[in-house]
Amino acid sequence: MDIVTMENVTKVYGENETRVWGIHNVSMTVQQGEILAIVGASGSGKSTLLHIMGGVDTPTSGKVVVDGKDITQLNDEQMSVFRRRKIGFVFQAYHLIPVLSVEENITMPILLDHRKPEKEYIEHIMELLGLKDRRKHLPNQLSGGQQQRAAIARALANRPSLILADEPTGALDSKNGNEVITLLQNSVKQLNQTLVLITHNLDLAREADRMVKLADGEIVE
Amino acid sequence: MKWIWHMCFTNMKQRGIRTGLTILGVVIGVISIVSLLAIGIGVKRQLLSQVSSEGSITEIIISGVSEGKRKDKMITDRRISEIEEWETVETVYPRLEVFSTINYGSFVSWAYITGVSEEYLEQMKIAKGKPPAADGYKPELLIGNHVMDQLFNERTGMSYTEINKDNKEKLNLSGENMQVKFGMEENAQDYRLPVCGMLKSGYHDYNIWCNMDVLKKYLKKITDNGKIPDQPTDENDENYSEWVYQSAIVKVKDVDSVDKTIKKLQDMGFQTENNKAYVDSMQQWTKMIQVLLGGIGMIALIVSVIGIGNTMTTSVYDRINEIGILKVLGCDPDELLYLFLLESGILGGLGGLIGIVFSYGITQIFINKLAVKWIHLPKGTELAVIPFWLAIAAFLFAVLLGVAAGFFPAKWAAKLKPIDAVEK
Repeated sequence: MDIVTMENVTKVYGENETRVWGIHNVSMTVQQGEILAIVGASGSGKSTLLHIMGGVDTPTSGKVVVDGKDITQLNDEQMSVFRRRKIGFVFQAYHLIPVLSVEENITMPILLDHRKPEKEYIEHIMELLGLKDRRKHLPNQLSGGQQQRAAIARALANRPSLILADEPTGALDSKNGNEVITLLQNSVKQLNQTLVLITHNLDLAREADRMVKLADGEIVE
Repeated sequence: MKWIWHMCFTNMKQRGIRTGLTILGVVIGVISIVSLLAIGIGVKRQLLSQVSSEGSITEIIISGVSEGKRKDKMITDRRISEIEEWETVETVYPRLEVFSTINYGSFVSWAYITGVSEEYLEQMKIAKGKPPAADGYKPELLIGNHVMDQLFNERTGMSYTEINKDNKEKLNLSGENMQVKFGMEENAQDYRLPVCGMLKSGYHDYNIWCNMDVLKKYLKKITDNGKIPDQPTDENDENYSEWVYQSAIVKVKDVDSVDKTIKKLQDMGFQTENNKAYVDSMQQWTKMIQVLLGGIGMIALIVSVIGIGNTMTTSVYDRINEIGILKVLGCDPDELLYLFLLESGILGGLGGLIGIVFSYGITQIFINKLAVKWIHLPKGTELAVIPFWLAIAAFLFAVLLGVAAGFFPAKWAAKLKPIDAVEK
């Protein structure tokens, strides 16, 4: 089953002479339950693609259907609801909320959806990512690897349809990076999630179920 | 919604110094506006209480013609019952004034002996003795406490009060008798009249009062030529068949009908005297003082509001990344707006609350104690008053201004594109 379908998606930044193509005429699908790696040089449009898929950026033209919904038709409010219910983001720079503890950060997407966190499930995720004895810590009291694990836990908390990870190991050394990526992959498999992952690391990309290569805003492989 | 409160408080705590300074700004603003308004209110109350102790503003004193032939302009029982029937009038107290020469021992004075109704006498505040009896042969005299200042020794010219200033007992004349000569005639007969009491200091200080009915009967009895002193005469040089009063007090039902009643009384040909115009102008003055003081306080408050606006703007700048994360995680724009408005509202509210508490302290200590002592006002004078409504209004105002100051930064935060914010 296709969880994401993109048809002729184009993103243009700026106007006239300053016009820059983010992505150009991209069509692709993501299957439910698969791990898809997106690779490509810097500026090839990987992040733009991911942002459009996750509804944090809007395409200039084209159609993006996620979990059966055309997200290009949604207004700001509906987009917010879509993001918090369907998407889990993991960023290179972790992007945890500095004033909240690890546990509060993890449950944030659920609170934003005005629901009560399922205690058992949250415990399970924290267990899975080795964060149980760090739950009361603030992000700045954690190492980079731990912070990224917390960010992954947050992305999983809402049982989203799609997890989007933008170079999750980019800021980590290789040991920590490998550990994080293994945890991410394991968690995704175990919880039967779908993962789209941007990476520079070809070894990592090869471990994915499928790989897409971008160059100059277009899919080349 | 719980997370919003939580996040709001953790944020303010984490940025403690800035939060504290912003609140301090509001506190100073609130203190200045509340204290200045409190002074305005206190001063107004002081002025008005002084006025009302000198005769109520609902009392109009009318005086009519008391000599000559214009009987229509004289105050008589008939005119009084006419006035009493007006809708705006509660009651009318006529005053029968007789010019008299008073002798007490070797002291002499001129004074008006004024007859008023028993009901009116009952309202007077008596310091010593008792009110004049409502029956009996001789009118009993109730003496205003400055009458003795005007009783002068015929030889030395010194006043009774001056001579007896060290002998308080002597200043109480109740139980004594006075020699009274009614009218202007030099060789008129002296009558011994008893003093029944002394008035407390106040409005009626320079008069001698007695029961009007007793006075009327007594005057009729003692006049042998048929002409009562200080009563006008007709073309046959005889007293009118009715009593003519020199003045009367018209008591009006409520303040709002004072002006209307005065107009009607003047139309009848009487002269009127009333405190209301004075009170009105005084109220206008105090209002002006209040506006002035409030305006100065307002400047301080506006400065503190700008402080909140500044804090909130930098707070949004500082937290752009955080805002972006919340947006990416799917936070409703409305909730984001609410988060920031809540924070600025709390800054305003906390500042307001602390400011009000301090205002109470400052006005009590610095104005009602120290300033009152310094300008030699009686102890316990409340020169600054913070009524409950002012405290509540100041608090709400501070919250409202806080929210208003936070509005644009909050709106801006809510409108940020998630990806722009995250990438900043």
